[in-house]
Amino acid sequence: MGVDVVTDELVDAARAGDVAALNTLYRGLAPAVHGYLCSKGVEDADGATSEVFLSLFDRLPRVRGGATGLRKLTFSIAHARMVDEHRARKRRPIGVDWSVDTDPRQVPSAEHQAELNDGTRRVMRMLDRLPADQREVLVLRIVADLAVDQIADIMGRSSGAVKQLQRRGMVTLRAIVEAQGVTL
Amino acid sequence: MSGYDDDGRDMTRGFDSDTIDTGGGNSGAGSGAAVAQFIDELRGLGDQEPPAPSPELAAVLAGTALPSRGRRPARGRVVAAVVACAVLGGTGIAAAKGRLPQPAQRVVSDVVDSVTPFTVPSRPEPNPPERTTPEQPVRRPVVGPPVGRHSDDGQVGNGARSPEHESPGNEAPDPAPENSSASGAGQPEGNDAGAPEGGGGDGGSGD
Repeated sequence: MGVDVVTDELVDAARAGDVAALNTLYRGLAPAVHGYLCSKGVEDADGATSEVFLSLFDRLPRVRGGATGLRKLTFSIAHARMVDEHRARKRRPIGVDWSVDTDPRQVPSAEHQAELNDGTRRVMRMLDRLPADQREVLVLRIVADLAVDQIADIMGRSSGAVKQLQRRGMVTLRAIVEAQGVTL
Repeated sequence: MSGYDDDGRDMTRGFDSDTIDTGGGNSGAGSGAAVAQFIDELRGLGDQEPPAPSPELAAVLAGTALPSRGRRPARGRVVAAVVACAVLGGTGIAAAKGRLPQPAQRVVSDVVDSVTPFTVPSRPEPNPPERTTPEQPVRRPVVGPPVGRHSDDGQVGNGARSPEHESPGNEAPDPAPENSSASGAGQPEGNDAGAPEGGGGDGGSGD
């Protein structure tokens, strides 16, 4: 089950308060939201995912644009949640004892946030090597399956800027892959 | 927005192999395949099991609670409400006292008169009459012995000033005691020379 399960009919049913539709929405979108939050280094990605859906369900009656509009709103909320956490982290720096196992320079931070399989771990390791803007565009484009103009709205950029970030992200990815000897 | 990018691709479409080629150039097929594998694995993030919902969300998904996050008013709304109350309250009090500028006073008066049972003057109250003359300190008459009468210590009129000190232009009595340390010339109430305070003229050492 992925983001494709979100259809206009499902959104209409959820707006009408159908609990089964709410569950289907959660099962269809939560993995992508969770992956997005993990890739952006959100510490409690599980809790943040739940907060995103609580906020989404609260706004369901005002959703416009069917499945496309709902997907965009979902990741807009996730993006705002991620920005809030990063701002809060800047205001309240967390002091932790240093050890080599927890040093983010040794281990990608997102990798510690969830139980990840090998494929996911490889993906997170690659994403960590991308600049933040390029990483966000690629994740929203590939994981959330959003269009360029929708990503532009979420990030507050122009469509051209998002397109450029996507192109640079792919170039960076290819350079990383070639530097590693073609293996991921 | 046309929905198509500069390369003629549909920007509203999902991310596909065409997009992978944008990172190309003359790179080998091996790296392209590796990038495609990465994209497949990245897309797989959206196909995993969803995380366990929080208790609050679980209640919503179970149908035992309504999705409502409107219980807590946003902090910004609370602050805005407090500021609005303070401004309205201050304006009302100022209007009731007639202290607002004329246009504002008229507007507030109209609103208050039409909405509330209270009445607010539509014209600012005239300023209270200003005191044109500062309060004059009570000038105590210089008390001294009669002319030609000497006190016990031989001084003539303790605190009494000689006529040449009573300059006609010295009409502003200054009760401030610190002025007593200044030149004694022209002071309305003399004191003993060198006395730190210029109190009453009769409080000299001759008592």
